Amino acid sequence: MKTYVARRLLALIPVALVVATVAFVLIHLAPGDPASVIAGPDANADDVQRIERQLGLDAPFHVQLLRWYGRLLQGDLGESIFLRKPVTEAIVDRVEPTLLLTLFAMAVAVVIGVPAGVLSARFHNSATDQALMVFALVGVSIPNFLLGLLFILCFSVWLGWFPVAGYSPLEYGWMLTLRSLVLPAFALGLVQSALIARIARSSMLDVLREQYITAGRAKGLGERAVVYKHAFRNAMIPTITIIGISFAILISGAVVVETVFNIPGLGRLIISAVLRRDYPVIQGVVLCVAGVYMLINLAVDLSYLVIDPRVKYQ
Amino acid sequence: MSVLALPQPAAAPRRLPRWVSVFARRKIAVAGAVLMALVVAVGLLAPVISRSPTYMDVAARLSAPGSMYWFGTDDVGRDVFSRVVYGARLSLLVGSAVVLFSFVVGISCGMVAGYYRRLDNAVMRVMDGLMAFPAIVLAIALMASLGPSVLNVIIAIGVVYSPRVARVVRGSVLVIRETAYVEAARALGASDVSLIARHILPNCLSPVIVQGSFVFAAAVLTEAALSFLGVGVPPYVPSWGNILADGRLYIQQAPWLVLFPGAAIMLTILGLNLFGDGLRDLLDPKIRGLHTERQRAA
Amino acid sequence: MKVLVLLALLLMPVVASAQGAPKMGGVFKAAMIGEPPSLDLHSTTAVIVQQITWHIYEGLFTYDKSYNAVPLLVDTHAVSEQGRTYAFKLRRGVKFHNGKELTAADVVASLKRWGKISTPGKQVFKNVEGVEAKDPSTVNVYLKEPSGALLMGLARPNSGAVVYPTEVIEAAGEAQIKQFIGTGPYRFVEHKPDRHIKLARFKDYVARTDAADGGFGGKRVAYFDEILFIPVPDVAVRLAGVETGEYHYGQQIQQDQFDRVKTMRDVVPGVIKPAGWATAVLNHKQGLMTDKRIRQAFQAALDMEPIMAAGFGHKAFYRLDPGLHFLEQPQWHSKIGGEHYNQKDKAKTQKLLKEAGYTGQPVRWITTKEYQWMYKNALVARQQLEEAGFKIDLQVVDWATLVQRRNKPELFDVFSTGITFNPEPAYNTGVACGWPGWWCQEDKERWLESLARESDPRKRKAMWDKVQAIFYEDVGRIKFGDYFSLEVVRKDVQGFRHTPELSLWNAWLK
Repeated sequence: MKTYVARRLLALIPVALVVATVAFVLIHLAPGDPASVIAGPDANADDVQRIERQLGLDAPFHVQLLRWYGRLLQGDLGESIFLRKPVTEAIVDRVEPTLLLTLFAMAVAVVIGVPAGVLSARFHNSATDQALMVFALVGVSIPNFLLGLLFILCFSVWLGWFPVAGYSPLEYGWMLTLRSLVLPAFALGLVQSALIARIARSSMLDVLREQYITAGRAKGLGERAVVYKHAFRNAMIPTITIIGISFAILISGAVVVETVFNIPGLGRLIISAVLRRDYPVIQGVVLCVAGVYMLINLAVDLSYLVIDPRVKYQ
Repeated sequence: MSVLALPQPAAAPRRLPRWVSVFARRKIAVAGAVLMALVVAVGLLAPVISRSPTYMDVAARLSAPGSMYWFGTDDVGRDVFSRVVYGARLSLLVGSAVVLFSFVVGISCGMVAGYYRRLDNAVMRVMDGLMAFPAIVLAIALMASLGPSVLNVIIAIGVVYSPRVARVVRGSVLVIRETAYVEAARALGASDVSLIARHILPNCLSPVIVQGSFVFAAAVLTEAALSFLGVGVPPYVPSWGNILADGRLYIQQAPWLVLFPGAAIMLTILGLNLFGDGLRDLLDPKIRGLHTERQRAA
Repeated sequence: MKVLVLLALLLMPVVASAQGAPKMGGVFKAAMIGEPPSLDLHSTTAVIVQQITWHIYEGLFTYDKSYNAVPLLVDTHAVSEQGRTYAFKLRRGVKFHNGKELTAADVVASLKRWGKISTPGKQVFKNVEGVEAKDPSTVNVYLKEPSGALLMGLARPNSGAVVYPTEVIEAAGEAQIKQFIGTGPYRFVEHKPDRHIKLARFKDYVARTDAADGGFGGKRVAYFDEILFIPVPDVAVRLAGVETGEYHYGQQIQQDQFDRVKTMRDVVPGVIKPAGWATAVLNHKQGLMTDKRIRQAFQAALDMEPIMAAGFGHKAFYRLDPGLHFLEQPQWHSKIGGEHYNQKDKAKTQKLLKEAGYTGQPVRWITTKEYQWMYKNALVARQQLEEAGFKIDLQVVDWATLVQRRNKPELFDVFSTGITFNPEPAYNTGVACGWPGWWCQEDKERWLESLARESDPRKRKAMWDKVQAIFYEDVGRIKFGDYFSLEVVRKDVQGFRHTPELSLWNAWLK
């Protein structure tokens, strides 16, 4: 098992290398020479040259690439053009809302999705099942930003229950923060709960057809015990996979929903960076999100070890 | 992808009616097909059934839906119906172009990786690397470099989804290349090219086609999201995402600006999902929910 | 018993406010249209920078209610040498936010910097021979020629002649200032980009002793503990945020929401009339627009009514008028050149384009959605121009980017903006040569220079008419029309005045 974990960690290295390279290439894809792109439109020729030298953009391509890796290893993501501060600092400033929003949405997705899926499977083909599945199907077809817009209209403007937009940082009190995140978290989480419900349902159905379940029933175990004790645990593996994946999706979904609700997180950071052509920030956010994404996927794989004793790894 | 249908010879023409009848038995899949056909018809007939989507009749701005403007007008007096119709056209264009792009790139990479084992590691690590980015975030970053235009949106989304196709193709190839008849053909001295073209490619098409319907849906959604965020197609191009972005500012006064394009997106994605589910059941009966769900999620 | 006392204490302010007396305290949240491109007021004419920073910095003069120059940091001033020497006596004991006392040296360093880098400063300093600290509290300004506009120039808030401490200026060198220190009623606390700019009451503020004059002059009091300027680029969110009490103030609300805003219980709409004129600035330094025929073709094609209607929606918020000063300024308003305004003559455009040998080269037009009306002006104008034979490449960027790009002549042919209300024609950005667009026309420059020197109002008006005639003949810029803007405040905000400049001192929360 230890070797498995080590192997999985080693396997991350080539992926991380590709990720870093892609982020590097992004800047070189942009029209015009990278230095003047980085320097921004209000820079003069001297500034451009200074940046060219500073970033070593006059060196051959492979040298530049190696240096880029070197800088990344030191945790140096460069300096934002527009914000005039290190990119890492800009990211740290924005992590709080995105992280909280993602976690909150995750909670919404799991708390709604898992029970819905399990109920659906237990009452397979009943009216409840069909209603839940139609709901889930419609759910996966609504983009989160559209749902967000409808929520604003309904719950903020008409009913006035929630702030229409904006984010209250934790330093002003967590109750306010929570309140400011309710609508975005539901807009984000509901869509994901539909997905989780579908997976939970289909894996429950698979498990319920297994022999040991039939055996359990034959033994005279009540349906409740069968469903909730035996089947549920085994059906959790694919569900956990999807929950892990959901978390990653939610982070990227947060990017979109933050714009709808005017939440100053990583999403707004990268969108405003795109509009301002602030490439170091774009690179930084992309790298940071991809890093988190990779770690989550790793964590999902490793979590099997804990959950399912049958899974053995060489 | 570990469980796969046994390879079958390519479907002969006379079996086509059975295809249709199997598909037709699934009401939901038919509903999806009908929805899709509707969207395609609307998109193709756009110039016939609607007016100019960019012409501004400023005096009639923010008119409610009525006989003159079926879906009302937007904040600068453009006909929302025409914009939604042309938006369907754009979505279809982006969707099919992205599918084409990701098929060309994904199938080639997947074939190479699956067939030539020595290249497998290199190719798949690059694909893994690309897949390590959340789709929308990578698309946004690519758009930042490429600049706003329809072609660039297609390229950006295509790059994002190609690795996902490649992975499916590789998985199938790995199984098929070990089957007895491929071994036999190889023993008979068939070249790599003919092996791939005649035996392997046709047999891994079904999962790829299923994948295609989900890539299509994802492309439509991603384009709408990018444009909504203001980093997709230029803001004056009729796109569902753009109409929503404009409409958001008038959500109280002119909810039709959000409701109609919103409904269009929903119906299209719903149609694609249903259609995709039907295709999956038809082409790939052994694959259970998880596989395609995962793909869709990613 | 204790509870009762507490209760009484809690109730006291309620009673006080019922009587309407100003009261200290509270955090004022202002929903702004975006992020300021800088906090160095000398460096930019962007309105949002002035609106935020003039709570931090102060200049020698400011405007009273009727837009006359009145002293702010200056106590008294004297003019000698036939109007060529101005001696400004500074108020005593004024403190910077860093605790240092304001001296003539700070004023001299600031004025010199302002004259070197700011758009209005450059105009004023064309006529300045020197600035000198006569003693620690007296500043002398020596002019080349007598001026009828110096004090108005010094009073102008936008890119205004505000005073920074000498050491801040020295530390900045050629670049932007890095510390935001002034003498104003509020001091800078922090800038978290895309989150807020926080100001707090400056407790050692030395206010003027004369009563507030209803304009910007006289005593200024910081009633709020803090002010948060929050960038809310989404206009619908600004309004909804004020409606729900999230923000106290929202600027640049969509004009077509006016009727709805009037029905809101806790929200007071304010119409700023006039706010400015909407314009497309043409690049005279480089590219297609250096050809006068192409500029005239551009001007001839436009039909202003739909352009303005799309931009401003509600009829009550725009007006078609050729004047570069507003109808509300009868001493300056003029209709001269009006025959070139709103021509709607596509045939003329085609003819001019043909003469100029234009063959469909794309005209790069930078605009922004942060000011929705700029985007919509451009969108409708684009349709009209393309119908007449132009090819327009519309580039939609955020406002901060627009402000950066417009400084680079190689990056654009046209950009969208508004020329805000300005009381003094000699410093009208709309006709300035040093400003992006670089419309420098010999005759016009001469008239502007004489205008700055002349003090007889009748002669000055005649000179201004000349400038406006040249504006239309040479197509300096494109004027679309006058616009008025809509802003909203919560009902519990008292003492607030609706002005384009946005002043938050002397306002308090009930």
